[in-house]
Amino acid sequence: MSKGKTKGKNKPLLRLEELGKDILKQIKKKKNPEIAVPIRALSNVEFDEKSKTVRLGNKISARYFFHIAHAKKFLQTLEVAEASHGLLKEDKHASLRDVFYMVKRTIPGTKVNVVDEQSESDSVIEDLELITSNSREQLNINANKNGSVAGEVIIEDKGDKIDWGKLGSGGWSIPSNVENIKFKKVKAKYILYMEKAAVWERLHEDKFWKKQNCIIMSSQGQTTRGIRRLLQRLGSEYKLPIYVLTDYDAYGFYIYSVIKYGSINLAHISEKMAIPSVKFLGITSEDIEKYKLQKHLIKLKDHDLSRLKQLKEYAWFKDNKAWQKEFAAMKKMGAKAEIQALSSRGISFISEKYLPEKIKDKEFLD
Amino acid sequence: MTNTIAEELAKKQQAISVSEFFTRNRHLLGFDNPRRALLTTIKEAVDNSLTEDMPLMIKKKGITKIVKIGRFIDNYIEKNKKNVLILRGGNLEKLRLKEDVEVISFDRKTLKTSFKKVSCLFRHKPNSEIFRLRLESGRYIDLTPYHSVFTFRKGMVCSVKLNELKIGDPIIVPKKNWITQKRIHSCKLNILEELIKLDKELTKKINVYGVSNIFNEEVIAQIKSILPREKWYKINDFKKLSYIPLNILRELLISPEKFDDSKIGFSLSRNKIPCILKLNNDFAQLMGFYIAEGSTLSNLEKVYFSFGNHEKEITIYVKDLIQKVFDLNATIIKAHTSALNVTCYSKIMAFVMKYVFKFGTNARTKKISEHIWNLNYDDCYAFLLAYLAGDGYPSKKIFELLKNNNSLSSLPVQKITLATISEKLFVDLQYLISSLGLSYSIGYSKAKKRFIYGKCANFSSSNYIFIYTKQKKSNINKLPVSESILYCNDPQLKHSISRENQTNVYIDTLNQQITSQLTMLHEGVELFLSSDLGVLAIKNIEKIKYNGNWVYDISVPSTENFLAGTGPIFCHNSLDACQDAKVLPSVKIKIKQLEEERFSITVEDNGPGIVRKQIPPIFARLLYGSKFFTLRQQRGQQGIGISAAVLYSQLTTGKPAKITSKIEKNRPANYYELSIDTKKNEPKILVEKEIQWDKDQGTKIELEIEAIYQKGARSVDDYLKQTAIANPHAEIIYFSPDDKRIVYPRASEELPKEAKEIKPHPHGIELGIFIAMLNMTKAKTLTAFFKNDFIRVSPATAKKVCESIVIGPNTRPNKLNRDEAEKLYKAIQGTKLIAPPTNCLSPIGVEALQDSFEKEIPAEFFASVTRPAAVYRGNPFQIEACIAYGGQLPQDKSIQVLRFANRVPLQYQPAACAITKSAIDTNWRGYGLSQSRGSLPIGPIIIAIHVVSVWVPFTSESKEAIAHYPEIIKQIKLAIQECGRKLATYIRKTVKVREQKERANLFEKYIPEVASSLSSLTKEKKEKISSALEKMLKRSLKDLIPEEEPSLEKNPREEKNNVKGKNKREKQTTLKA
Repeated sequence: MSKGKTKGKNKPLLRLEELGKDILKQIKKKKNPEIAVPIRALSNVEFDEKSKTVRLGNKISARYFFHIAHAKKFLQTLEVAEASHGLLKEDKHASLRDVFYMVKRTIPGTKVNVVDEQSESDSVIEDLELITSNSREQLNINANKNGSVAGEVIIEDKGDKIDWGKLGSGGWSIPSNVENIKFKKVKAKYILYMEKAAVWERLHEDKFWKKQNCIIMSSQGQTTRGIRRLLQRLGSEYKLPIYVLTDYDAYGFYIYSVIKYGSINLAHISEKMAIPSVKFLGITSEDIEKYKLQKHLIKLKDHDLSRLKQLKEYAWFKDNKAWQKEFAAMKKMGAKAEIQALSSRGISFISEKYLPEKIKDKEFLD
Repeated sequence: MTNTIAEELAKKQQAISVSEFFTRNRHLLGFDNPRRALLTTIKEAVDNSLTEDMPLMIKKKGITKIVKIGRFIDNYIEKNKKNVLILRGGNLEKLRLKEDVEVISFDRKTLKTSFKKVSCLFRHKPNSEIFRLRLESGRYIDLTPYHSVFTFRKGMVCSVKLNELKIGDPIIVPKKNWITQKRIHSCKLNILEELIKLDKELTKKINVYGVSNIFNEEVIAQIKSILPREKWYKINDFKKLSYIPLNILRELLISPEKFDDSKIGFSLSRNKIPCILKLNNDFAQLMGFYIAEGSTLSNLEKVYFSFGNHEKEITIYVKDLIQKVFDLNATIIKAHTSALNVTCYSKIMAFVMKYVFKFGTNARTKKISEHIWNLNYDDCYAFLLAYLAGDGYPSKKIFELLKNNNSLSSLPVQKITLATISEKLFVDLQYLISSLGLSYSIGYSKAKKRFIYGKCANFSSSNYIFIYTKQKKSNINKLPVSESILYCNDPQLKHSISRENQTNVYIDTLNQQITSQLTMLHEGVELFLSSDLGVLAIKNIEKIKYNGNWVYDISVPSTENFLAGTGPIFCHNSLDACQDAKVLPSVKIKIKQLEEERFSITVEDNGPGIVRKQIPPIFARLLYGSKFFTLRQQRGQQGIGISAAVLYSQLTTGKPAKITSKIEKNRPANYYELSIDTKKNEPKILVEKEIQWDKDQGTKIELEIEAIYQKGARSVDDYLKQTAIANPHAEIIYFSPDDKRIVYPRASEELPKEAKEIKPHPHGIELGIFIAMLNMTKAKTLTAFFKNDFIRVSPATAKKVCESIVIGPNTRPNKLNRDEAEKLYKAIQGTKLIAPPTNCLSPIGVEALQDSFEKEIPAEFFASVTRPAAVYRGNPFQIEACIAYGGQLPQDKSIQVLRFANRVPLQYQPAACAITKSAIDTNWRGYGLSQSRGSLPIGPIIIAIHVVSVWVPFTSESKEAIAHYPEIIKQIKLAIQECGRKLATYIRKTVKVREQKERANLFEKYIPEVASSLSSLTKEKKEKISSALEKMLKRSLKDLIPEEEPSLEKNPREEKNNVKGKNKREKQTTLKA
């Protein structure tokens, strides 16, 4: 068993028990029992100029039991803590969905469910990470597998040796917990992360990673923790440059922002997730002109515009002239585009022309 | 071709009778579809009527009160059915009284008044017309012509039958006080005993404090036997905090003296009062002020007395009285610029005023409490003075009298005027004044404006009593010359009698003549002069309409007379003190399904029945008996009526209507089978016979019609339920087509006040009717026409109107041509006239309406309102509203609006009705309901609106919707708003408290869950954690749930957050989790 695992096994268990004991103490003192939870919201997030990451502030809220508005959340927190405690004791792992079902039930004598939707238990799990200072994975709760990777890398996972270059058309699917993966051999020179699984498949089919000697990685939509952690480990342990390829829209930009600076929701684990060195490869407004994608634009909707406005206001973009210019260009154009728009120039245009050119010319946004 | 087409057509055209018209246009009558037909038939057949009663002063088991003679005797007779002797073939009923009941009576020898024991009660069928005997002071009594009152004849008091009396004859009334100086009762009132007599539900939250001396072993054992075991812990609280809930106390076997030093109060409320109140002069004065100026909030929050701000001295005086009587500290508050309030925030005092003393809570319902009648003379006098200091005029001078213990005769004014809008108080005061030996007369005044201290004030219509301070000069102190003086040679007296035609002589003058040699008085005058009696002359005798089933009498064996009437008058106890004593209505409805769409309908009532010759036209002629020219608030319809149902039955089934009616017991009933000759609009009598019917009186109609029976909205079931609501005094028994027997019992045993008939107001009629009236009047001149056929047109006004359009005021009304008539009509419309009187209306009454609402509707909160009468287009009307909220009413549906017009539920065309419009136009959001524009709000509410009027303006002949008169809509909206405000207060208070309770309840459910989670995290025992948390919850619950007086101003969120920091309230809270 790995070093990390042994260390993580006792600590979270202890922390959860400490939480219980603390509450018990309060009850014995006849105090209204409370749990201190750091606030996870934009109001309690700061941009750390030094590390260039989003960091959680130190605002803390008390979650009381005898409080009409808090009681249910209080109960949920304890229920999830109990569930996690059980998992740790039995050394079993459960998915977020599993945990949802472990705590979901109707409280006897009421019409109230402990949790109604998975988002509630997910949110409480994130709270518990903060309360116990342990990540979700350390609490033996995993997210679903999501994302694929391919490239000239050999790793060891649970004793199995895996060559990322020899896994057929599907590639290796990235687990939610990558803490215990050991890199055996890393030949690749850089990592290309893309928003779209379909684009990854295109590049994989074209053996782009082999031709370019790189690693290609993708998820579907938001980047999961496993991917972010994997990116960070490869980035820091092997000093590989990381390029991000997303749709040309505000949501694409935010995917880049999360990978680079960390997210508001998970600001507490930014140091484990954020990779300040990543660069934005495309698609940029310049690309639209250069590769003549104007005909394949989609008009911006209201929610696109409001998201764009929010991005502009983020502390980490505020003083970034290049990005402000990019935002302004998009607003002026009033349109967005998908990566796949490049296919209008030929199915392998992206792997044969666009990407090699961009990487060669180092046309990145930072 | 011999005839033109036009002539051909003309042949086919012919006059059609009303019946034929309606045959073709039956939708106008509400028979447009079979489902509705069933309802309309029932509706037309259900009817009832209403009456009032005469006051009688009695003393029962030592307690004096004023009762309605009819109800009083009926009650005794109904309760003692077995002992009632039925005489004269059922026409006379007699009950020998075993109980100790006394009435005021004068001794035939000494002519002194006192309470005398009643031996028998009688009631018998009225066998003649009824007359109202009215005396010059205004007091009156209703009698049969064979009943005797007392007159003064040649120095003697003798009984005389009404039919032998004429205007001006002297009638014996009490003159001297009949209240003794001696205290009749102990001068202490044990409030505790009074409270125990009340219903348990009412006294739920009342505690008795300072009772530490009662908790001996025996008592504790008793408490334990009352309380369930899990509540025994409370006994410790009781002991520790020295209190006991009244509802526990009432079960204990413990002597009341133990509580003489205790105090009574509401749980968690300040300002407790002593158990023992002294019924002394202070008490009498305070009660007098209360009757005049006091009010009790219906939520019992406070009792307050309002005075003008120039009456500062009185306010201090009253504050002092409250301190002396209730041991409470009242505050003087400036209510607004011209008023000072003496306010006492004592829930228990409010409770005692409302439920123990029962003075009534507002101006309209005020009356004199039984506790006052049992005070001695001085205290009653003080009560009256205090009342006058508040309500009388000149109040300031009367207050001086009260302070200095002086009597009214020392006032520098001739008479004191007092006004009240409460009918009951009006009668009570007359008895009180009379019992104190003061003389008075009465009057009535309509609403008017007056200037007081430079400010314009609106006075509503009131009854007036004028008390004469110079007693000697009042009518009651005169005797008729002819009956008292045999011959007179005293020059001065002789002069005034013979020359100045003086017919009456002051008793002072007579007293002087007793010893005089010049004058000879009739024998007996001397005795009469020193007696307790006086005389008042008859002002008029008029025939009145009497629907009563019985007339009443009381037998006082020793003296053969008793005091009764609206304003005390002595009656001979031979027979027939006649009271309106109509039987409470009871209606039976039976619907039987014969075929799929065919029903037989039977409606039977216990009303007075219909005389034989009237039966055919009433049931089988359309538009019979419609009265266009007199106006009276009537139940039922103003037009087509039952004959429409007969017509419909005939059209759809061809079957005749079967009518049975009986007007008197021991006479056979009349049975008819009738149909309508639609060509002539005449009744066709198919069967006519006398039959035996085992019922005292009543009418029954049986019809067979084509119809569809359905349940739900606008159904017969629904209609009957609503009818029951609008007629709390009626009992409705309904056999539905699905063979169910549904009984709507009475909510009120009191008959409503009978509506008075009034003549039309010129502004309330249309030109067509005006012309018809001109042609039909008996008046010989236009002036007389206006004066006799209308109200509110004086001859002077009539003359002016006629002259303004150059028509002679003495023109014969039927000589006017159409144009002249129209001119005259327009002229009178353009003339300013006084609005019609509004005392002709008979609303259901707030309390009765609410009672029946509470009986029929499963809601948790009720409020009701009666608006003051108002006028639209010359027609008086009045709005009543009652609102029911919450309970089992649906939360997510539009509110339900029940519409009533003159006690009839309206069911169709809600959208066209002024009531619905008013409800929609009202902004309900302010009362905590959601409402989208132009529709009724959503919420668990039923609101009933009753429009009472001599002429309800319906939009069509089917009489389902009330026309949109702005005055009516305004009044309805005001009524709704008033109810709404009461509701909003309730919603804010109770609903919030309940929600919080429900939420707190949730904590209880969360505890085991939290405990189980914590237990697996910490290995501490689950039960231990649970019980620790439960204890915390119980302790903090008090702060979570405000128990009865939630501090509403506080933000509720704040309260919730306050769970941690406990603010210590009163400790004796008994937690009810």
